[in-house]
Amino acid sequence: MTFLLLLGALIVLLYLGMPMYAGMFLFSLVVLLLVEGKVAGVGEMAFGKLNVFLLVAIPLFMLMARFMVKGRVVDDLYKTANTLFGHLPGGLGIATIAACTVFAAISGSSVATALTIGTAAIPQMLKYGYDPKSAYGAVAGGGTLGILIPPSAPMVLYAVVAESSIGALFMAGVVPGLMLAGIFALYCMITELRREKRLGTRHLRPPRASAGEMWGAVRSSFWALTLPPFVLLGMYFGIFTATEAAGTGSLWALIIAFVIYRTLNLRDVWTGAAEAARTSAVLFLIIIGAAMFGDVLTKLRVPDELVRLVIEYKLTKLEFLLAVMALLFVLGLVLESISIILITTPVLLPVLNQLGIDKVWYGVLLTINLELALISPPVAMNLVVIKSITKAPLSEINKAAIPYMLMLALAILILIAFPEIVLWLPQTMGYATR
Amino acid sequence: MEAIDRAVRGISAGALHLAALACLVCFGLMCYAVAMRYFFGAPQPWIDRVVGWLVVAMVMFAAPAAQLNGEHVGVDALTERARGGTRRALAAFGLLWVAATSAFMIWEGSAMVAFSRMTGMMTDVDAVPLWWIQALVPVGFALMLLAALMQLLRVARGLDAGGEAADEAAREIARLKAGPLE
Repeated sequence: MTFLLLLGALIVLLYLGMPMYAGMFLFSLVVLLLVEGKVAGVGEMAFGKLNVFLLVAIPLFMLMARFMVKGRVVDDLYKTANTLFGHLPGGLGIATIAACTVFAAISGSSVATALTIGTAAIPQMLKYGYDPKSAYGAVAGGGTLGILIPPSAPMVLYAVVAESSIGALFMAGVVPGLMLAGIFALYCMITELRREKRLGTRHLRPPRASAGEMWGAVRSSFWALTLPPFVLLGMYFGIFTATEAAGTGSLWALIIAFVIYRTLNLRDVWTGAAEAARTSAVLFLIIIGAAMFGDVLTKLRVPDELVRLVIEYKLTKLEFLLAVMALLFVLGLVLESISIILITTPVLLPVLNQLGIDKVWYGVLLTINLELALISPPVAMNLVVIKSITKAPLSEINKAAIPYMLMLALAILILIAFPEIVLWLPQTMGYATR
Repeated sequence: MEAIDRAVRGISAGALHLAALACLVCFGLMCYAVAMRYFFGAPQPWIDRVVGWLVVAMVMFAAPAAQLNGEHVGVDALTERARGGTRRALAAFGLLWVAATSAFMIWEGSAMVAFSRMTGMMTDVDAVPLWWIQALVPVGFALMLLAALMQLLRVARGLDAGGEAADEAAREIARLKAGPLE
């Protein structure tokens, strides 16, 4: 109850528009002063939270994505996917999902995925007579894969807070990510077939590309397609850790864009580094604010209280997970994802341990729930992106996202029922996932 | 007023260059660490620590520029709808929180630095006193305070705070459009 009251008060305060980190920081400071009458060691706490080697994975993965985007290496991804899948029923939707999946493995950002692929995909889908809602939905849903398919900044932050393995989490995101991409693609195909049946016409589809054209398309995106396996297989085979993968992935991206494509100049490298630093600063300052809030909750014994409640009400793993997923969904409607991870994880960790819930499994469920938040109004970043591309009414875009919200919810239920889907890949690599 | 505006933006831009440099040095060090381990069989454990310090430097030097660009994440559902005086009042309120947080962190950070200096605490990398690294915290928040005060002055004069983009999506769009994707 204390947790919900404090969280409610904090959310009301944050709605006044101040930066999250400052809101959480001062709010927690005031509560600490009221409860304890003093605060001490805040400087050391802030320094300690930032002076963490593992955090470097986030700016370096961002740098990798910037090199690829600024070097225009990823520009042909949608065209390639379109050539390969465009002729299928719902083919342009499938191409959108495929391009989003690959771009997600390069950028690690849902917003960037929706924007980059959406800019190319939506006009093309509308040109071929697709229902606008199908086009908006495919981009909104496909875009969410950005934070599930590795690399993923939210996963790195969760791993740091939960003291879990970044590599295990990245690997755990691969199969659910591909499963979701498959579900989304299947949905695109089925809705388009049903639409064609309803209208009684097989509407315009791009002609099937010849083998030569397909080969040419794959060649045009070849170098972009080498990056995800480079990073993932490097981690999978234990050649490098997740943080080292961020560094070597950036080097590979730099070689592709600077040496092979020759589309990246030194100025781009510098601005890419400045952008990565700025975005990291934005994320990492929230860590300090959330740590202060976490300190308040610990001093008020909220995590202990939660464990006591779980024991008292004899909650099972399943009941607890469903309750937490519902809570995360509600939080996702009002807060952005990083704050949700940083606020809820320290509170829930003792209960996860108590109930024997795998931290990697929970991390993936949390990430999919955050994906849901990206397309759930009113704080739905991906939908805002689509609006900025299309200028369509937000109400229409919201409606288009509903099937994808339901599919994400379905994926959460599937993964709760079958944790092996999440844990299989990290376990084959020898990760101890508890 | 214009001169203050320019000076603060100049200082923040300079700090952002340092943050970019820290980011690129991290990149170089990570590649160097991998190369030394694989090709020369010589792991470099000091790199982990130095990279941690560089992360602190990156955050502290880049945060003021993010503040001036209105990039720090906040819930803008209310502020986006507000107009005129209400909008300015909300902006001023948010900036006051940033200024107060920064002032508190300068105070706390300075105390931390003074203590480490007094006790002569060293890092576990040869000859590097801990306070050198810890000093990044009060310095970074001093730059943040400067940025927030300049923005408060702008709001007090009836101008906007100077941020270019209000929400994450818009920021990402602006950022990507600034590149060759446009």
